[in-house]
Amino acid sequence: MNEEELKKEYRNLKNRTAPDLWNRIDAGLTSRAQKETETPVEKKTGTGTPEPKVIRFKKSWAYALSGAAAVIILAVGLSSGRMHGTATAPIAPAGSATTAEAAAMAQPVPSVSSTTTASAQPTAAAAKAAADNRASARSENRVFAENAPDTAMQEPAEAPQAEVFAAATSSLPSGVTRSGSVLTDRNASLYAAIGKTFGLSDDALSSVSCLYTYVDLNHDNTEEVLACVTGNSVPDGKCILWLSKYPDMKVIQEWDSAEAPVIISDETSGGANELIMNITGENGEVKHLLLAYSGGHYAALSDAEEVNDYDSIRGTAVLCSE
Amino acid sequence: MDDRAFSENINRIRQKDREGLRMIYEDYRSLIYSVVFEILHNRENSEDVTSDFFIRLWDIAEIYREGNGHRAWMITIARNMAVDFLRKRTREDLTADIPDSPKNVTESAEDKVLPGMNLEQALSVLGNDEREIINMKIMGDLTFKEIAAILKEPQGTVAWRYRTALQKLKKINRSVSGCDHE
Repeated sequence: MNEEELKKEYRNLKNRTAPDLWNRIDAGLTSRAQKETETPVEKKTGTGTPEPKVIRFKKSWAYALSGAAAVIILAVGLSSGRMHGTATAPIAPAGSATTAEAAAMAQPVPSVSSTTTASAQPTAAAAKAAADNRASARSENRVFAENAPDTAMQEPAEAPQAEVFAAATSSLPSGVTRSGSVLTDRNASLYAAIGKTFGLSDDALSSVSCLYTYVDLNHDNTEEVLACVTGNSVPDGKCILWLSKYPDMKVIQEWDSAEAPVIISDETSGGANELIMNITGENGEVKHLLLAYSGGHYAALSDAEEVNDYDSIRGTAVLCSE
Repeated sequence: MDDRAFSENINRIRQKDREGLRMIYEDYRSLIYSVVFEILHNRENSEDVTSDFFIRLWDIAEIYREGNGHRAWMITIARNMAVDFLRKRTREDLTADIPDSPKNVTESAEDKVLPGMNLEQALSVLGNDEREIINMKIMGDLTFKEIAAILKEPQGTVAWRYRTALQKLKKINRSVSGCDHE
């Protein structure tokens, strides 16, 4: 049996074994349409205002906080001499035996609402320490926001940011200006658009991280969004997205496996700035591809030409890590 | 279905014409089901995810953009949904589902190939990665580059695995068809 015969038999086998699910799909669509008609609740398309995320307070956090608070009170007491002679270990609840463990367990606390934190009654010192930790964590996220986004914002998640910054930004051509405007917050509309594009559930979406910035590539006096998305749920682990901002945030074009930063060239084609994107080959070699604009879209990476004289490029680099 | 026909059907879906979805479904139900089944290894679950995939396609038709290969786009989404389904099930500790086909077959499974196996039996002794690549290549008609991007594997590795798997299958089928006179 030759290769073609084998392929034919394979296709026949798969066609035979695939069940007919059309009635089920059709019924699913009908049932959903009926529900939407009956209850005119806003569809979960990610374009509207998202429901506020409810953060459930974990019992272990209370233990950790109370344990930490007890330790701090004890320490303060000892140092002031008021509790002299009571150098026994504080009674800590199960699961928070040591100060170090308590401190470690207290790490998720920054995302808890103030009401919830208050219920654990931390000391002023503990609250200040937590605030310092938050400030420190934020500074490490390197947010250089110039434009405040107009959509609902959430606390930056613990998604891995390091991968986003993997591409070197130090080797930009001398004629390229580095833009400091890069946002890293979990913009609800943006993440909804990403989820729709890649068909991700909320869980899968939570593992995705993103850098983004506002641009006007096609000179229509309307801002768009350029985003660098990374995560296991994204094709090839990383991609660049160009999204419309109005009326809803929607993906205009995606470039799988492209990396940040992106250079917006001073040169234009078809009424929009040309883009230079980076991809890393199998041997680790970085290639710079020139994407021309035509007919409302940029070229796909597979159709893009490699930049001949990278050092002579003039433009602005966006989605830079530093 | 080529890119143009696919785009036309997507446009019909955007206009809430269910016939557009039906056309895509007819052409790709086997592809999507097989892609999902290669991950879940369970018929019932694969049917659920395949149904959900086409319902989701109805929702996400608006964001489809031509030019990046519609098959690779659909396969990426279907794989994501299947993997996500698997993760959820694992979290819910419902992994007791009995798979309908072997889940973990090592590459040395070629040793288990027996004369007289039909294609289905022969496929069952291939490794998971080999079966997935064979499926995407033959059913999805994807390029090695597209498959490599989806599986996050080097293109050379994908091509090599495909060739190896194909050789195994051809060997089996020669035995079955009685053409192997060596």
